Amino acid sequence: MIHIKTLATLVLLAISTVYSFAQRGTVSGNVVDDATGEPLISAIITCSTSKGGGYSDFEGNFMASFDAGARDISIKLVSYKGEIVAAVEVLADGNIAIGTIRLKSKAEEALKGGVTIRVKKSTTSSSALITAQKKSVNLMDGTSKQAMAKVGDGDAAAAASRVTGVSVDGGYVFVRGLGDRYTKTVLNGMELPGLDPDKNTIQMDIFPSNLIDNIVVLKSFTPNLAGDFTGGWVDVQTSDFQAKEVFAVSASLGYNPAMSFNGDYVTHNDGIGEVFAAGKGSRKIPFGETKAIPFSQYTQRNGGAQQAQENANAFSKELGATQQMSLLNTAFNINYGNQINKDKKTYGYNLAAGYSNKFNYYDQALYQTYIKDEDKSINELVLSEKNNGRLGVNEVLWSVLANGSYKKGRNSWSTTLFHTQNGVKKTSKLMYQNAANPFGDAGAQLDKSVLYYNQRTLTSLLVEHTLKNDSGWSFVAKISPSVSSNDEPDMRITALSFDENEDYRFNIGAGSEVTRLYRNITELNLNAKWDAERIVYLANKLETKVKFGAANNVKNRSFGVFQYNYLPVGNFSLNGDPNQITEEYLFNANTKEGFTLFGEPQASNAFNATLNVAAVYAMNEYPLTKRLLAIYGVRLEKADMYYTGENTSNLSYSNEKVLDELNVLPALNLLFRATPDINVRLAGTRTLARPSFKEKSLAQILDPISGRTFIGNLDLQQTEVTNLDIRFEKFMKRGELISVSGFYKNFTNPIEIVVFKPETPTNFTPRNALSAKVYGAEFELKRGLSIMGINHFSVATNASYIVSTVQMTPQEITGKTNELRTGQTIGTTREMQGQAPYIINVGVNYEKKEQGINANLSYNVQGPKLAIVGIGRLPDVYTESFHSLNFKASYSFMKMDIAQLSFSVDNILADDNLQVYSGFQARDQIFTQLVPQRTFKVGFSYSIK
Amino acid sequence: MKNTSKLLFLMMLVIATVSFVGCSPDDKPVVQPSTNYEHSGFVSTDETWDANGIHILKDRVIVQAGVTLTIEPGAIIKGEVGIGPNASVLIVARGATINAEGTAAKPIIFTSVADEIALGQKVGPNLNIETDKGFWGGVIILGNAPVSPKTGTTEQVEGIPADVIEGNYGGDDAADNSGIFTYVSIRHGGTLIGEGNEVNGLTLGGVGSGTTINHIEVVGNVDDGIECFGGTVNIDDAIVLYQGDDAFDIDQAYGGTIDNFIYIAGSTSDHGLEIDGPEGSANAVGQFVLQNGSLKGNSTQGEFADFRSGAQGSVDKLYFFGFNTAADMELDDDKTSANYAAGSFTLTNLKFNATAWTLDDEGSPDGGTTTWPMVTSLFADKSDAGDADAADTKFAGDSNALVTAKDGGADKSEFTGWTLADAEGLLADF
Repeated sequence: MIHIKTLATLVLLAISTVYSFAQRGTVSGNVVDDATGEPLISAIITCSTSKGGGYSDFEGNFMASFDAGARDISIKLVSYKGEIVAAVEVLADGNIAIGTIRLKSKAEEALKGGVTIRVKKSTTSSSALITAQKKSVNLMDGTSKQAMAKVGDGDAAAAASRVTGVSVDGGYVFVRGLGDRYTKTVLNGMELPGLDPDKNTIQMDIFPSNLIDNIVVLKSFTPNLAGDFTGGWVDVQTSDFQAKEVFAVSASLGYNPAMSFNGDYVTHNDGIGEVFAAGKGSRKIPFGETKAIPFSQYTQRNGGAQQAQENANAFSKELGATQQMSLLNTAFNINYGNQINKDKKTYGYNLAAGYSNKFNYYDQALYQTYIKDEDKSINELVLSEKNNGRLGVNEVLWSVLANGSYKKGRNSWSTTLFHTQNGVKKTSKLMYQNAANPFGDAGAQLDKSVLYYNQRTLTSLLVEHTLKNDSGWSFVAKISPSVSSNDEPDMRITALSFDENEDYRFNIGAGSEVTRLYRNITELNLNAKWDAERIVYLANKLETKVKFGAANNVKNRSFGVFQYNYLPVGNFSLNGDPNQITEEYLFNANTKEGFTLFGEPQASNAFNATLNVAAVYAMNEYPLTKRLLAIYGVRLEKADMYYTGENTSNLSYSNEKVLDELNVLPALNLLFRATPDINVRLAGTRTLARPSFKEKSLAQILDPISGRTFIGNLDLQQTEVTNLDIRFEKFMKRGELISVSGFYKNFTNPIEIVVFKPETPTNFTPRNALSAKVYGAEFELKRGLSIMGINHFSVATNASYIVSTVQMTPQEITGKTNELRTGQTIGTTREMQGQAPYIINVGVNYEKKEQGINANLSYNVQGPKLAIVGIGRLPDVYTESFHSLNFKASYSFMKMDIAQLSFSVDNILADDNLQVYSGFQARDQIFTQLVPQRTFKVGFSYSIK
Repeated sequence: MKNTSKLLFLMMLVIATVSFVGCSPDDKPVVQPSTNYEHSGFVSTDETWDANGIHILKDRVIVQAGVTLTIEPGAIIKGEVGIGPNASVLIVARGATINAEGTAAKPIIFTSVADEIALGQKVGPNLNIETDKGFWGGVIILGNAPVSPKTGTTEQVEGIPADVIEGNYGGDDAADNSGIFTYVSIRHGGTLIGEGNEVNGLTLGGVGSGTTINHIEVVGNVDDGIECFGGTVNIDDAIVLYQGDDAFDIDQAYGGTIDNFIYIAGSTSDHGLEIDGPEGSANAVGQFVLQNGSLKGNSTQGEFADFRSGAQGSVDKLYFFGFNTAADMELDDDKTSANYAAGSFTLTNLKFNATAWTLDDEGSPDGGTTTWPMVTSLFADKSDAGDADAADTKFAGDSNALVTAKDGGADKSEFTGWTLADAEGLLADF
């Protein structure tokens, strides 16, 4: 109900705003570069005799509002010669189109026709990003809001996977096969805190696509960027205000025949907070703080038993899964933005909010463990453990974005506030069978209920000031504080052993347990940057850009795990319902029997760490010839990392400096503009990768969720990378391009997470491998098919082929050699973890603009990736290719296409998410299998521009 | 002089305490010793833990290689309650020496800080012998004798991070000597040390035959009573009662002899014996001997024994009684069955007391004379590879029988006078 009210208020507000423009009219048009025909962004549209005005947007379009009457419209842009369109008749309540305005570059002007000017006919297809790509001094790829809308991707992770060379795994972006360690995700150019205890970076699926304008991926380093990326710099650019008033609402409903309205769906504790992705509140530790409760408490005199009973009773009694019908997937979005021009001042603002609620249900979720046979002459893998059963997932994601800009004269200020919150509730009811596990009790069967909730939030503020003066200087200062948190509160695992007679027992030896887990990670990040840039004209009238600046980024992470367990005092006959333990057999102070709760803080499973990186840089874009631009420079980075924590051997660090590095990072990019439409690029750069907080530490952290112990390594060196890139790009009509790239990266001291030693397969540690190499090629084509006589159709396709080799550590080689099968040999290298050998995207789009029809069929596939590095008798695990084929069609109608209906089908091929064990001359065996099935979605949106 | 008077004073205290406890069962405070010694982290130089005060294990205490820890007779060591990395355990690392030589008069007692037992006492006043367990960790002795782990020739104790080298065990010295461990009672332990991983009462990893281990009692541990991971050490006179999992657990091709042992099942106990074979190909030759044992089962649940993963060795002269009808002797896999057929794994002279059982139509034991075919009904060869009939015939032919009265088993006199089991009157049936 709250939603409907808010929506109604906003609709009313928007309508009244529209009516307040009654005595005025609008002028619309498109601004392009006269020489290249490419759209120009941020051109200022004003009139000397009327208030109001506007800016051109990313695609060069503008819609400016003025008082009715005959007006001289002025169009200006820095470093371009201004134009005036005289005596435009502005109609009250109407719009007059003044067509395409071509601005001449001052530099081109200075050249006096040194370059052949070929004015291209502008088209209506999306091209802003491609224009940016063409002009960029870095190697750049990306995807735009328009592309995301056409394909129908709901979050940034799905959208990013459409970008050349990008694959996504578990919300994490891999660029050119390089994962979080080598790929940096930033928000509006500013660094973000991380959300995963095992990773440096943030998951992309937390950004909803409706609040994003563009995802830009920079693949070559320039000194103005932070030096700790190698694969890609992934910049999520949030929605900015438009040159015109925009109000848009949309809603969609998704139906999956296998998952929606399914009565078998399993769930737990429907606290009201979960609807708003805020389920953490109802899952707090009841004592407020983590408190030590010894198991022996009940034996203590003076009310120990009473205390034990109270403590056990303080927690939620719910341990089992509840069967309940799943609902439809829903999503709502709302957006309002405007620009106001007043006395040479410009105000712009944009408010956006989105909400989505999804249900997934897997009635045959399968998780297995296979091991190599004890007998080395047997190749087939042996089933060790099997978990199968029902899994219900409910995911809520909501976000708000507010940004405001103010511009007066040469100064502009802008501020953006972004908050996103994601709540995932997973409920599973599984049957566990222990087949031949040498690590546990053979033949054991467990009935396992797992109640899990994960709440992730990110709040980020960005304040920005730009000053441009007449002598060609521009200064940009940016400051961005942000905070993120990732909570896994009150994860409940109840495992009861049972036999064929349905006789349930709490059998420790067979693996029975009742556990409650709490895990939290909170990270604060403060990023400040100052950049100066000046354009200078050389004697030969070519333009050179001098840039320098400074930046500082400090991040602080705190991490903690807390666990409570129940153990029975006495013997109880169980019926298999996990709630029976808490409802019937909880510890009773009178009988001094029952399931007793205990737990305590563990200093070795918590840490707090800080990283400060200070940097200065200087760079220059220098035209060696009219067509050859050299972009060169150097960045200096000083990094200091501090760690507070203790290990299980009582060794503790208090704010101990564990990393102190000063690095010089040079970069040379060459851009050869063979023709105005063809770029050839070459780049040679040095970048680095730093160990994460817990990697360079004395940590010995037992993660109860994975059951793995992570051991820090104080001897770890940071990784240094040499990057070589080459790319050929040809830009055709607007929105069309073809590009071919090649890259080669050489890593010194690459960090790999490996098993500490072969006999401890659950103890992991980061180690420097000797070296690693990554090389590959990329191809991209965006093209209309009218040249082939097929009208209204266009294709967008890209393909990447990546090869990586990493030198294995001696421990890994020993661990593998010990378990080689007869006739099997291994080398000293393997591929990098998480790297897809190939990535293919194919999209076909049909657009009939005059009838408001758009249809898109998109296909994405990533080659099999090494997910878990096997050691000893544990084989390697690969994530199999997921063949994603999606379709979306939309129909826009009513005046100016303000309403749109859409229909989409996701996963048309009904492919399944599959991870498999891979052994030498052995059949692949399933590690995890989830079948998402097809989802059908209808959507409606309404927007006034 | 000062010491003598102190000793006298303590003796007085002890006498007073014992008589005090004797007449007031539960709620009156017990006089605690004036001195507590706290131990934490590494023991890196030789140390002696005397019987003049209570020794507290604050957390993980590790005796490092080359170091000798001497524990005097009559010493009481109490573990703090703690789980996971905080679990209080005493680890005698590979290359370290434990010199814990208790006597029947002055056994060495490991228990929990929750146990209000005082110096000189053999029985604590407040804890329940059967239900109170998991209050602290346990004792882990590691050595250089051969073990057969999944890979390689050494192994890390579960729950100890891999970079703590003191958690490693196994080697090539079958005669390795880790010291002396006699007349020791380990009570109320078995806390969680790692994820889903409880500490055993006494864990012996790769302990060599030069080590002397006898007169050991493990009471009420959450996990196993005594578990041997490889090694060659012999254990005499061991008693395990009321554990949560298995009483005697053998893994990684343990090659020693366990002689004269007693087991008393509790209501949550699983197997009396759980015997595994080698896990890997290295050092896969070790064969255990289990002999002269008396095992008392539980009438509602729990099994005699489970033999798995290519168990190899011999089980001889055991007397089982008090078990439920559903209990069995199980050969769990093909390899074990093959070993049984080949004779590298033998079951001989096992007597099962059947008086309390309701038997099926196939007959009932008539005064112990008819032992065929009934005894085979306890024997379960679960493998589908072996010849089940042949295995049955072999089992019945190896002097394994149903009986109606005590027949062989352990000599309980070794356990009288110093064990908690004896003090609680639990040895009467044996």
